[in-house]
Amino acid sequence: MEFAYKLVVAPWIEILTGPLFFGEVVIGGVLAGVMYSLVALGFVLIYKASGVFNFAQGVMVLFAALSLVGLMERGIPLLPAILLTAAIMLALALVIERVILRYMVNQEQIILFMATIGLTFFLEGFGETVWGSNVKKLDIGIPDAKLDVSHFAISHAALAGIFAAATAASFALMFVWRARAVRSAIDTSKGLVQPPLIGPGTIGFGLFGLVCFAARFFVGPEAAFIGGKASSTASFFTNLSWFGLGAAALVALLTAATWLGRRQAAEDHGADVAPLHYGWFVALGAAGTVAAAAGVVWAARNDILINGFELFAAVMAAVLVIILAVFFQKTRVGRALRAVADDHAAALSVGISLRGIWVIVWAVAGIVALAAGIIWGGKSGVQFSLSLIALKALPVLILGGFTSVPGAIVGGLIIGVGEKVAEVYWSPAIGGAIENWFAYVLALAFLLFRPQGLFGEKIIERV
Amino acid sequence: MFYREAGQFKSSYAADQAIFPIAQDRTFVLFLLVVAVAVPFVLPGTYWFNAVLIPLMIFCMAALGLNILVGYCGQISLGTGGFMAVGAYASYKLTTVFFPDLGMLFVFLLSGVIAAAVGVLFGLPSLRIKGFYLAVATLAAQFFLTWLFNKVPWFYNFNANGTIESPPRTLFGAIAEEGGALDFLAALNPLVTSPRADPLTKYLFGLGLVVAFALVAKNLVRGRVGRSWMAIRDMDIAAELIGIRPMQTKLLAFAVSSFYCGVAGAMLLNLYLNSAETLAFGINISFDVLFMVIIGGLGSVMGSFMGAAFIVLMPVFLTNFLPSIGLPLDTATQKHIEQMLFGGLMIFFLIVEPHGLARLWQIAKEKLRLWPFPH
Repeated sequence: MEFAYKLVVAPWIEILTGPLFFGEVVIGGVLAGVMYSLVALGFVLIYKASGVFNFAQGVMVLFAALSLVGLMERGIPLLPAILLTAAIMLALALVIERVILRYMVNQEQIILFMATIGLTFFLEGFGETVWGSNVKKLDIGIPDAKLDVSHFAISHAALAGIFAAATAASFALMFVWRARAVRSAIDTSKGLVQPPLIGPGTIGFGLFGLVCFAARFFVGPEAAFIGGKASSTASFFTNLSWFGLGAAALVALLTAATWLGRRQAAEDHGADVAPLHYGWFVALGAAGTVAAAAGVVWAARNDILINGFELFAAVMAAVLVIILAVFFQKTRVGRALRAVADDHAAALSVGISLRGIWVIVWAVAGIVALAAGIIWGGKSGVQFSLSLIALKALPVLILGGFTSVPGAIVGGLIIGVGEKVAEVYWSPAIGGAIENWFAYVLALAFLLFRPQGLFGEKIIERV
Repeated sequence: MFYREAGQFKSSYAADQAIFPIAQDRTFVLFLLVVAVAVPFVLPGTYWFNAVLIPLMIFCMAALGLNILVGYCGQISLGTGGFMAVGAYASYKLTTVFFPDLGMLFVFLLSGVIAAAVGVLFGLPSLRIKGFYLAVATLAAQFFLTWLFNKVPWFYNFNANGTIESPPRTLFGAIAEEGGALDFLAALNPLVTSPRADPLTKYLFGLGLVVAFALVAKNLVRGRVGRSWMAIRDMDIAAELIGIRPMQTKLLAFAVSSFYCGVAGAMLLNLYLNSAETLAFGINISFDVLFMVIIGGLGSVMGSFMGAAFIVLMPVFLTNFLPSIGLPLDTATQKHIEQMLFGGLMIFFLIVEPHGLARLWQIAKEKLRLWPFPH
């Protein structure tokens, strides 16, 4: 009975009575999840392009981190060492294609899977023979501690300026886009796809401005807008304005997303809509960044525990994902990669070299492994156990789907949050140390409803 | 269909249904069996038993079990270590708490049955999930089971150190304890577990189990059950359409496979390790056994043996071979180089013969069928 209480009732009471702590746990989970996503991303890239379930991704992380630390121990500074390691990973991709993949074309997937396990053994032995097997510290200059924003101050005038610019820009952009949309007659005939002229985003930024000036009125021009704890009024308005900035950016983001969705729907129904302007992505990205940054500062100011290193990892992962997305969508090589992922035979028939693509995709996975290696190595030291994070990435993979990059990210977040929440609230009831299997069971539960993972390609079977 | 001008023909149904229809194959298997029985009487000392022969028998059993699931029924599983742990812990509980008088033979079989039940439970997702998704999902079994045995003290009888130990038990148990009316049976009822038991006895016991269960497996896979497994493996929807029930078939494969793995786990504890904790049934074992199955040959009973022999003997060979060619290495470096060689060899074998060692033997058999006219 007590066990049932501890399992079913107590965690919920804890969550409801301590929402702030729950928030901390969730944030910690999100940040940890991003780190899982980074490893899973490497798996997805290779699986998509070559159908190889690359178990060696984990050991590639280890190998990259070992090489990086090894190079730095020999006196090479961080940045050149990272570039050199990237070159090593590229060479590794070349060798793997030359020595293994070339001879295994058209083999069954499980054979290729086993070959990558052989590669795992080899790389593990090789890396440790070359660089030594003792635990090494990788220092990239970001402390693994609570994020401290107390010294972070922006003067009142600067903030007011930033914000006036944001309002003006958001207003101007919307006006320009509306004009463009009006020029496209078919667009307007549907009446669906006009961008909002003065969207809630602009209004939100405007409201934020009012708060800002109210703060100035109450606190006085001499007070630093952020960071000062002069009086409770100042503190209140400081918090309010950070919160307001974040909320405004979020509203702008949501408005834009809704409009994009309606535009997509119109396009799906056959409307001939004008192509999206790059400015949209820039604006969306900027609004998202502002929202996230404001959220982080607001949370940190309110003493919600945010680990600075994990935050750095999350930012790095986001940048990496954006670069990858641009690479896949906007470059010639990226288009070839997508073609190969879609259909090997068709890609071959239009003259895409499969072998070249394999080298590229393994090299990209190697660089993703390097990023993961920097982050994981910086967090927990570079040692053999680093290769075991492959086992952490597997549930992320099956949850998100083997073939989906967004799946790897969303899967990572779900697993990260689920794991942390379960570990904090439920594991005391059932004996602790559940993080080893909980992710798998969570992924399994999702799989029972979607056997191909959340974002995986639907499995179509024909006789 | 082979177009045969010459070779070994069959003139009766019995001959047609023989397990080893080719004379050379029959001779070869008999020869192997004789060697397996004779070798321990020739080898000096206990090193070979403890380091090579007994583990070989254990992994033959596990590989046999996994080959039924992966090779014949096409369900990739990485939960072997977990199911072996079930077998080991079941044998421990059976010998220490439930049936202290029971002979080891029966304990092993019962442990296998318990493992089979657990296997069916963790096989349930296979009805919905396929391929690598299933492989990763079976890791849930692996991690959950080892965690369970680690966390719930009941499984290791509330020991302070959390390990399970193999108690001294005889083959058939207390029915033939000394001093009884069945005293003359004592020779047939030797001590088979605990460090006190003779390694030779342990080995022969293991060998007997493996041979018996290999025979069972061989007959299973060439009968109706095996055919339905293979139909599911080749294409489950088509199999369903021709009237094979996927649920029963897949779960039966999980049950049989887990039975073998459970027996292998009980053997690992009682014949080899003598005392163990969950660490001994980690994910590495799962990968090793999967490797044996693939190197040996998916869907081949003989392949399971070949793969087990390869994976068990290779490290032994490397450990003994590397120092003997005079490389002055410290132990850590040597371990890493062994690892590299091991990985390299695995890749090499997969490139050269992706269908496993059994495929080589199969090609030889096709030639032998027509021997001495190879065309």
